Amino acid sequence: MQLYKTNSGFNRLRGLTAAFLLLVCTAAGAQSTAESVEVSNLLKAGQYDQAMKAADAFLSNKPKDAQMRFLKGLIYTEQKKTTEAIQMFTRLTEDYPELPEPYNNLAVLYAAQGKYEKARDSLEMAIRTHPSYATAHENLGDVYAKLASQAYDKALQLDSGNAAAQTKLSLVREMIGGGRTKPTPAPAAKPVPIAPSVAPAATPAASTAVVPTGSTKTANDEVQAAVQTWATAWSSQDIKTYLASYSTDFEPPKGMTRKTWEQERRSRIEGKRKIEVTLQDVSVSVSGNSATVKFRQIYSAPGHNTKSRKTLIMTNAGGKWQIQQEKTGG
Amino acid sequence: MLIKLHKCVLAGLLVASCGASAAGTDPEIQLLQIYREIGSNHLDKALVLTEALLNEHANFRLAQLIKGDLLLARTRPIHTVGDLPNAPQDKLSELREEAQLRLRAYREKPPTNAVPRYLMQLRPDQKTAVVVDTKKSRLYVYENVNGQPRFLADYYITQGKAGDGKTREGDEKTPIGVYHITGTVPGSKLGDFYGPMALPINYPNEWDKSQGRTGHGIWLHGVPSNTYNRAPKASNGCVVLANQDLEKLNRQVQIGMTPVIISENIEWLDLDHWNSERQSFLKSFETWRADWESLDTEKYLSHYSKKFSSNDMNYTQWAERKRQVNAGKQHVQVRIDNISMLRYPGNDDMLVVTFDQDYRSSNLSNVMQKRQYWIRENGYWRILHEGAA
Repeated sequence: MQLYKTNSGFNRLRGLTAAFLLLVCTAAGAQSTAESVEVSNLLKAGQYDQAMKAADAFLSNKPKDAQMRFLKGLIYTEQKKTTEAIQMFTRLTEDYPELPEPYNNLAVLYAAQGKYEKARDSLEMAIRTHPSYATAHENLGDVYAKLASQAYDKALQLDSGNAAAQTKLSLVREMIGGGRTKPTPAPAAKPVPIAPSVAPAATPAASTAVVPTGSTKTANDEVQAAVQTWATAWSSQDIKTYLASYSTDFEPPKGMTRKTWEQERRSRIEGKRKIEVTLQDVSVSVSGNSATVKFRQIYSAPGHNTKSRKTLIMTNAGGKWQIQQEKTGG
Repeated sequence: MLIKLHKCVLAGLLVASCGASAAGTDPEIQLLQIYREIGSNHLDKALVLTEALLNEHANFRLAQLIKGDLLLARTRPIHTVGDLPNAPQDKLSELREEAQLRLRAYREKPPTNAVPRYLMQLRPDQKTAVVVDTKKSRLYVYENVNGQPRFLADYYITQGKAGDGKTREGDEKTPIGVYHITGTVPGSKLGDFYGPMALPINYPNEWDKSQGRTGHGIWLHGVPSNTYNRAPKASNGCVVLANQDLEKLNRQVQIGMTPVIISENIEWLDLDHWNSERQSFLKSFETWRADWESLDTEKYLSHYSKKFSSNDMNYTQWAERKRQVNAGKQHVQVRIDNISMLRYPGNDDMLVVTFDQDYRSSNLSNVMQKRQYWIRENGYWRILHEGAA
């Protein structure tokens, strides 16, 4: 599986810049930060009708705006209006074939319909323009595995119950092309899995984060312990400990203030009946007072399952390792 | 990993240029190309070819297996062909065996100047002959070109679950011997399982019966619509072909005429040896005919084995009968036409000779088709069985 490499961050930037410029040139006054943030928030809060109203209001003035159309596609998806969602994302791929996010989400919708070959075609398109797009690669791997299992069923005449089981892929919630005040090298997928999302392939959540063993605690061990604490707090919905895992100079996503971000996290975490966060393939690299932690995060709450690759940049402040940056992608 | 696995199937496949794979190309040729690409580590190309093949024949299970392997190899290293948890090993090994047999048949195509030894002579009106090699799981069609057999086509086949050498009813084996197609039964009368049609053959033949062998219903037939072909050893004794191969074969054979010789391992002869064997036997045969005409009964009888049987007589009875008959004749004319000579597969030197016989004597005229089984005893060809064909 393709890991997100640093240098491809620049490719990503190139891709982003190009998309950004394209949007600026093609859509009249493309930048729609405030409105798209508003729609995005409504969407996350589950207020679909209002989100749709706001989106449509904006699009009546600026019908070509890619970011808003993308959000509208997401709204349709949440509303389970699959046909409309597919139509919206398809049109986006036609108008902006260099953007991978619509292709990715199209694939998710097709997979949900059991149309795995179409999902595959979509994802291969996404990767064509963005060869290191982690989410698309993960999704594609899942689609290949599903297609392989279908082929095996036919070859070996297996009457496997697999036929019914869906392969759920990861939706992408943001399009880098527009709506960001601060372009970052992170890929489009949201760093934190949020409320309604489509689950990825059911891979049994095997091992959790590595628990430090042995009596001698190295920096590596301490970092791992801190990460484990964070994940456990999240799972047990211990918002206090969870928030305390983040450093004072933590960079909230989407230009949110610390306060807004904390409120959002609180509502996200406390608002669930149950949460389970599992970490796999954790790798830690420490350099002085800074550490980079990469892992595969499996988030599951009633009705929501996401699998994503995460990177945490940790800093050591006064003996305690805390999260300074949190992003999706390896 | 994947390359190694499929390469073990390739083992020694010579990379011969086959031209671009096009829609309508025989599926087996497409399969060989896929394996060639896998062997050259062009896995992407192999997948493209596999999907093209499956587009035309979605039910080609071996191709589905290859597709599964190629797709899975994109997501993770795979360790075996059909790398699934709980993959049914018997089905996997059947598919693997099929792949190996197909490739082997391609590698070991009959040499161009060689013919199956069994086709010593075909009648002029026999357009083709069918020879089956059970070890290779292969059926070969030869056409009769001015008396000389020439390779026309070959197809992958399925034989009995229990292999070959049928001796009794229900043993699930395919018989070994010289047979011919006795009829045709349309698929509509048979059900999907048999494919487009069935071509029954005459097991047990005269020789089988004389050996006390039992059984019935040995056919050449097709496959159900849910598969392109069946595993190498899967039938109850019938010889099974892919439906499109059976359709081709059906156009190549003649009911009541086309011999079907089933052997464990086809013996091939170059044309010179084939010719000399033919001439050598024809001499013995002609001597028998001449001796019969000459009314020298003892000379005539010298061509008959002591183990001889006809449908109702043994040697002694036959000899007695012939002496009687010949005594009452002044002259006899025997004309023989349209001789076919087919060698019986197996260790013993045995020939099945069928011909049109026009017998005229002072008090009887008779035209019939006859069948004789000749064997070699102490270097001499002798008749073991004789009767109406």
